Amino acid sequence: MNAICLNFKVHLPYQYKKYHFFNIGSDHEYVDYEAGKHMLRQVAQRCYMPANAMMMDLIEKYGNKVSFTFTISGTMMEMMQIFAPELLNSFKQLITTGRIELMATPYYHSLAAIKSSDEFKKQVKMHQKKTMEIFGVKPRNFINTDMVYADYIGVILSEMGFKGAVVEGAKHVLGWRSPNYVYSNPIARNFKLLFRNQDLSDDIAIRFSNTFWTGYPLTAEKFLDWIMRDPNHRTITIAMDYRVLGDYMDTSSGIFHFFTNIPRTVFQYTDFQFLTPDEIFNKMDSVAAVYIPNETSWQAAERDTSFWLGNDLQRDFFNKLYALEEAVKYSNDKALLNDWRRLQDADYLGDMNLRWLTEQNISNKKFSPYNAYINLVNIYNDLEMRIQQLKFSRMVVRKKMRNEKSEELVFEP
Amino acid sequence: MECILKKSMTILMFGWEFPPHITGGLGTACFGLTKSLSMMGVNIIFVVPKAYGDENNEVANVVGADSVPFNNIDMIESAQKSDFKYLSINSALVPYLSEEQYYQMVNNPTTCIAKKEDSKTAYFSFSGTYGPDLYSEVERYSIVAASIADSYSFDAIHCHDWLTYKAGIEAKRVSKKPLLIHVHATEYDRSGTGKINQRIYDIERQGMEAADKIICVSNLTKDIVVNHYHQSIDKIVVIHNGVEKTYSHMVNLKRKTKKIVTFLGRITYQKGPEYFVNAAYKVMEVDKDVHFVMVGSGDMYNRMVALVAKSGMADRFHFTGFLQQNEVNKILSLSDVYVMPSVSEPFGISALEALQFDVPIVISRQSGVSEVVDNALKVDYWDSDAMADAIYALLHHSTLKRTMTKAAKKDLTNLSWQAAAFKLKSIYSEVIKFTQLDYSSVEG
Repeated sequence: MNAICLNFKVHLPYQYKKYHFFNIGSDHEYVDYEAGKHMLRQVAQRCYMPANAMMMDLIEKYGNKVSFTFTISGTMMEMMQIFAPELLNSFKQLITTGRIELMATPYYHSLAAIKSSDEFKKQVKMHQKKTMEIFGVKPRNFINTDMVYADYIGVILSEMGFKGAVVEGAKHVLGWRSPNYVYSNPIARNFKLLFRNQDLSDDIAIRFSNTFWTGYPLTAEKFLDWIMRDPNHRTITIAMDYRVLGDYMDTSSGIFHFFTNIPRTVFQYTDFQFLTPDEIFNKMDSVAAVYIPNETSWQAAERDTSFWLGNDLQRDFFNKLYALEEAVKYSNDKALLNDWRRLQDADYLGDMNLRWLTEQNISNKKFSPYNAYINLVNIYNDLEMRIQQLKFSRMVVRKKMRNEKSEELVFEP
Repeated sequence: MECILKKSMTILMFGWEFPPHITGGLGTACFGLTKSLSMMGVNIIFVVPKAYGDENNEVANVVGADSVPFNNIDMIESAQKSDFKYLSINSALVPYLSEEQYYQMVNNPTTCIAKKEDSKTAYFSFSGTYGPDLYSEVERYSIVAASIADSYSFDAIHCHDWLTYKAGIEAKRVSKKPLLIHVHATEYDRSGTGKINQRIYDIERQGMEAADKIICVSNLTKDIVVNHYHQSIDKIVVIHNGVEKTYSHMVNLKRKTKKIVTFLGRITYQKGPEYFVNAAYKVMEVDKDVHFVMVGSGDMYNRMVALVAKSGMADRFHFTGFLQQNEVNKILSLSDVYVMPSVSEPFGISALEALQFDVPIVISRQSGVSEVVDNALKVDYWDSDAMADAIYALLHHSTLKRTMTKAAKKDLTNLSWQAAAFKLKSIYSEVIKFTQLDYSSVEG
C-alpha cells in the first residue's frame, strides 16, 4: 500500500503597531487589530476561501478516497473567530466531512520547544483545548512551528501521548535514507515520524510558477511521474503553507487547477491512497529510527533554526523574551501572560532576519529587520516594566497587609 | 578603435576646491575620484579658481585659474563691463559659506584683475571660496577656462557642479572635446522645491544641455535631473560616491561616559537641522543622559540655537560651529549615533565616514547614500517620531548597534573610489571614442 499525505499550515501572526519608545510604560496595547483584520481578510479572499471550496469539491467528488491535513495555529483560530467567522465556518464544514485531520501545534506558533519544555507543553495543551472547543476534535499527531524538530522534542511529545509527528526531510539528517518511509524516534521508539519530501513539496511551494525552472509548467501528470520514478515510494509527504494556493502563487499560475487534477490523475494511473498522518501511523510500521540531535525545520536553505536565530538581534530578543518566563508566570496576570505569549510567534523573529535587507522581492520597501527588532524590543521593554510595577504594587499590598495585621494585634486585647 | 582605449587619456577637470582647502563634500569627492583615476593611468589637469601651492600634485596636475595669463584684452574689458562686477546675492543660496567667510568677503571685496605693468598679459584674481561675488567669479572662471583649453592638450572635459559648468562649456567651445558634467548637487537640493534661484538653475540647465554625458551621484539626483531639468535618461549615468579609508584607530578618544548623538553638515534647509532638533527633544523627554552635537555652520544656525534654547535643551545640546577634518574625526570617534536628516541629499559622504568610525547611522530616505547602504536605519526626514525611535534604539540596545556596525562593514567595502573611478574611466573612453567618430565623420 502506498500513500500520499498532503499537509497545509494555516497561520497568520498578529500585526504589531508601530510602538514608539516614548510609549514605553504608558501604552500597553501592542497589537494593531485593524491591520491584522485587513491582512486576514485579504489572504482569506485570495487563498483560504477558494482553497477550502476546492477541497470541499474534491471531497464531495471522491468521498473517502481523498484526505487532507491542516495545522491551524491557536492564534489563527482566535483571529478567525473575531475577524473572519465565515472562514472559520468553512473550515468547520470541511472538518465535519471527516476527511480532514487536524494536527496539534504550539498555540502561539512559537519556538518554545527549543527553549522551555514547560512552556511548550503548555502551549500544545492550549492548542488541543482550543481545537476541541472550536472543531470538536482532539489532535493526536503533531507538527511543530515550521516543522522545528529534534529527538528531545519527540520524547516530550511521546510523553504527552502523541503518536507521531510530521518533520522536515532534511538531507543532512536523512543522509542516504529516503524520506518516503515511516521512521521513529530513537529514544521513544513508538513515536513515529513522517518526513516531508523536500524536493516534491518545494516543486509546488517554491518553483511552481517559476517560468525559468526546467520543470515548468508543472502538471499533475508530470508530478505523478516524478513520484513514481522514485522506487522508494511508500508514503509521499507533501507539506507547505496553505497560502501557496492563491496567495504566494497567484490563481493565474494555475495552482488550483493543478491541485484539482491531482486526485484524478493519481486514481487513474496508480494505486496510491490519500491518507492522513494518523491513518498512516495506524497502518504502517516504522522501518528504522532516525537520530536528529540538532533542530531541523523547513525554513531557508539551511533547514535548521538559523532562519529565526541566525543573528545577534534574533538571539538577543529570543533570550530576553524567555528570561521573563518565570516572572510572567509567577505574576498570575492573564493579560500579561497573553501579551508575553503572543510575542513568541516565530514570524516576528523571522522578520529580524538580515537577509531581508538584500532580498529585493519584498512587497514593503520600507520594511527593515532593524526596525522590526526595535519595535519588538520596545514592546518587550514595556512588558518588562509592567512586571516590575506588578511586583512593586504587590509588595506594597503585602506590606500594607502586614501593617494592618500588626495594628489589629495592637488593638486586640 | 582599440588604440583609443589603450592610449592613456588626459582629462581636463574643473573643480572649485581641492584638498587641503575644502569646505564640504565636493572637494572630498573630487580628490577621491582623481586619486583613483590617476592610479588607473588617467592624466588629470585639475583646475581650481585659486591654487594655494600646497595641493597634492601627485594625483593630478593642479592648476590655479589665477595663474593663467591673459592676452585677450577685449575679453577682459567686456568682462569688466558686463554683469560680473560686484554682485551681492543672498548668501543662503551659496553653498558652503561660513559666517566668517561671509564677513571677510563683505569687508575685503576682491579686486577683479591684476594687470602686470610691464606686459600686456593680465591675470584674474580669484578667492576660490563661496563669497557673495560668486557669479562674477564663475564668469571670470569661464573666460580663463577658454584660455586653459587653448594651451593644454587633453581628450575630455569633466566639470564638477554648477560653479564650473560655464567654464566647461567655454572649454568645449574652444577645444571641441566632449564635455562631462558631474552633478554632486542641484539647485533643487539646496533650496527645496519652490524657491529655487533661477540664475543658478539656468547655469545648471545650460551645462546639462551642453554636456555629452551627465554623471549623477545617485538615483535620487538622476530623478531630479530628469524631472526638473528635463534631460534624457540615455544621457545620464549614475556613479555612486566612494569613501576614502580613514584610520579610525588613530583617533581613539573613547574615554567618556555620556552618550553622544551627532549631526554634521551645513546648518541649512537642505540638511534638515530642525528635524534633528525635534527628534532630540523627543529622545530627551525620556532619556536625560544624552548629549546632542550639531557640527557645522550655516544660515539657519541662529534659528537652531534659538529653537534649542526655547525647548530648554541648551545644557545637553551643543553647537560647535564649522570644524576641520581632524576635529570632525574626533567628534565622530566620540559619537554613539550619527544622524543625517537631510531633506534632499544627493549623496552624503559624511554618513559613510561615520560608518568608518563604527558609528551606526540614521539617515533620511531622501538621500543618495540610502541607496547603497543597507545596514542603516532609514527614516523619512519629516518623521521625527521614527527618527527619535531610531536614535533611542541605537543608544539603548547594544546588540542592535553591534550588529549594525558589523554588517555595515560589508556595505563599506563595496563603496570605494576605485569602483567609481573604474566606471568613470569606461565612460570617458566611450565619449572620447564617440566624439572622435563624430568629428571625423563631419570632417570626412
